[in-house]
Amino acid sequence: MKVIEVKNLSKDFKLKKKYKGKEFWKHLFKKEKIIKKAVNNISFSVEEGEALAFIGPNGAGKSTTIKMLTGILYPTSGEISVLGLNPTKERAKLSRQIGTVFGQKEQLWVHLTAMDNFLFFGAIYDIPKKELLKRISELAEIFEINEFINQPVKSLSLGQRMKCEMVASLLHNPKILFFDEPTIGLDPVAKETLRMLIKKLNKELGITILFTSHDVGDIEEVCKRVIIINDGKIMLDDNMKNLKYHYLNKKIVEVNLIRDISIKEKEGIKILKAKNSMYKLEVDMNITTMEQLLGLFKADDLQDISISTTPLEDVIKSIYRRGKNEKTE
Amino acid sequence: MGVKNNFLLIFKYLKLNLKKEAQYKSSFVLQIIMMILNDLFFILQWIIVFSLTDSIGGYGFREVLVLWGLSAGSYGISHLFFYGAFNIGDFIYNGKLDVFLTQPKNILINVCCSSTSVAAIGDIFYCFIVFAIAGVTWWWYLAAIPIIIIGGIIFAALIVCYQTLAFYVKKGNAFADMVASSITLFSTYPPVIFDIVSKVFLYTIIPCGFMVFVPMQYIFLSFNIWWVLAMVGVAVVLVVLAFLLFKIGLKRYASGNLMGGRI
Repeated sequence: MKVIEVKNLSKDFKLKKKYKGKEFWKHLFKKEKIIKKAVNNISFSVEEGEALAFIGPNGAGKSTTIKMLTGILYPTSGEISVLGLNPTKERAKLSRQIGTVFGQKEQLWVHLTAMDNFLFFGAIYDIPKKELLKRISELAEIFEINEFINQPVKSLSLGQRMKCEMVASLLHNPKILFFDEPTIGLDPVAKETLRMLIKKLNKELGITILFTSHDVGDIEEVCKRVIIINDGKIMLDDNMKNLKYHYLNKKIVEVNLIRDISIKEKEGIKILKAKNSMYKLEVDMNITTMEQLLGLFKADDLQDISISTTPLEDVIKSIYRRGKNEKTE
Repeated sequence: MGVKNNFLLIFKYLKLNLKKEAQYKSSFVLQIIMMILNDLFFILQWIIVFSLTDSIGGYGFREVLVLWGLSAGSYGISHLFFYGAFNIGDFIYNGKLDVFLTQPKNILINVCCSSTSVAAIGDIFYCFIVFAIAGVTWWWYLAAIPIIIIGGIIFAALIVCYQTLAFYVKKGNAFADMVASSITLFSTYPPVIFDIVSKVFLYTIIPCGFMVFVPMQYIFLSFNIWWVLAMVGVAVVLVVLAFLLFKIGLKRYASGNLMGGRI
């Protein structure tokens, strides 16, 4: 069953033209507007229980799309249906069935304890007191927040705060959870914990997840399907397996050798940079293996080695470039 | 059900806001006391004025004190219950309405009640302190309660109407701040000193006339049911207008990605 359906959705923002330098006085007399297409004619749907990642660089239109799906922003054109409701016309009704977690915008009152916050949010969603206390206790157990539930939110670490934010957004038992960069600013351990919890919500409680992030780790671990958006347009809508196979299976290997040994390119191994005894190689794991790469030199010659995945930004850029090329052809 | 729910929400917000503010007990008490003292200092100017003359157009020291009381009380109610209304422009301009838009309750009530001014408690106390200094009869105290509640609603609703300008003009809420200052300034002077043009101004653009002058003239000094009904009517019209303007303006809300939290 489809829980989200988006058809030809667009959102324009009118911006005032900026005059630079000596022309600054034109601001006073001219009112030239520039139309910025934040979201440009996108269509997609999400099945019940799916975990979908929405990725793209800054200003790509991810947050704007989420904000239109949750009823925060009015679309310029197009149709949206979330759980059969129109977010612009039935915002209040919809908000009882969805939850939102914005990494950059906290909904908790920082001077109050997490518990006070939960009791308040329970009242906002008209949850009977008895039922609310039971729900808080269940969620506190799942999210392991009992230790600090009675501490003021301002005294909690960012990771603990995000856990509390998630509990607050789950109190009313939402069917869909929208996460907008929930792991922003978190340390690796807190990130991992949060990812596991989101995964648990999706797998064990069957909550549909729509997730935006810049962090490839977030997406890899949490989502099965990914939509890449850039300049307000969908560049790719595929499952995670395919994305990994085609784009994220390229590793960047930097080797520093003791002696000046010449390394030659092989199928699946591309030299990106070579300087004296230092090499930066791109290794396509679909074609070759690490074993074959290590066979290019003797273990005794190796001084240092570092292996990293192609940065997500580069993946997005390459997909974007591919999209552009297809258009020109 | 909806109205009852919204009333409950207003008081829930007040309870939570006071709980939040009471975390810093000394600051909490100090803010209230300082506001009472601040307001009391203004009486000095009137003591000086009335040492030179017995009355201004029929208004003596006692009547001016009551005017001050009603003005401070209305200001106090609006700032205690609906302090968020005075910051709506900032919420719009900096894209801070997102949190409220994802909740099922009425957005405007949610925003208006989202914060409180502790000092406003001092203003409400001050209202009754000056009533005591003026030596009014007991029913004036009782009548003052609904009057300052209606006055506070008029004040907050009017400010919401002006704050919604921020949906159309960047920092358009600056005008609302000017209106708020004008209301507190003009509502403490005896209405008899204003000419007809000023009175039109004070009963339309900044309707402090309905907040303070009408109850003073037509409830305390004489009684006219039509003026009392007009006062209630203005409050209702302004509340409806505030909800309408906010709803229309919301279509232009552009959100934003500024980092922020609720404090």
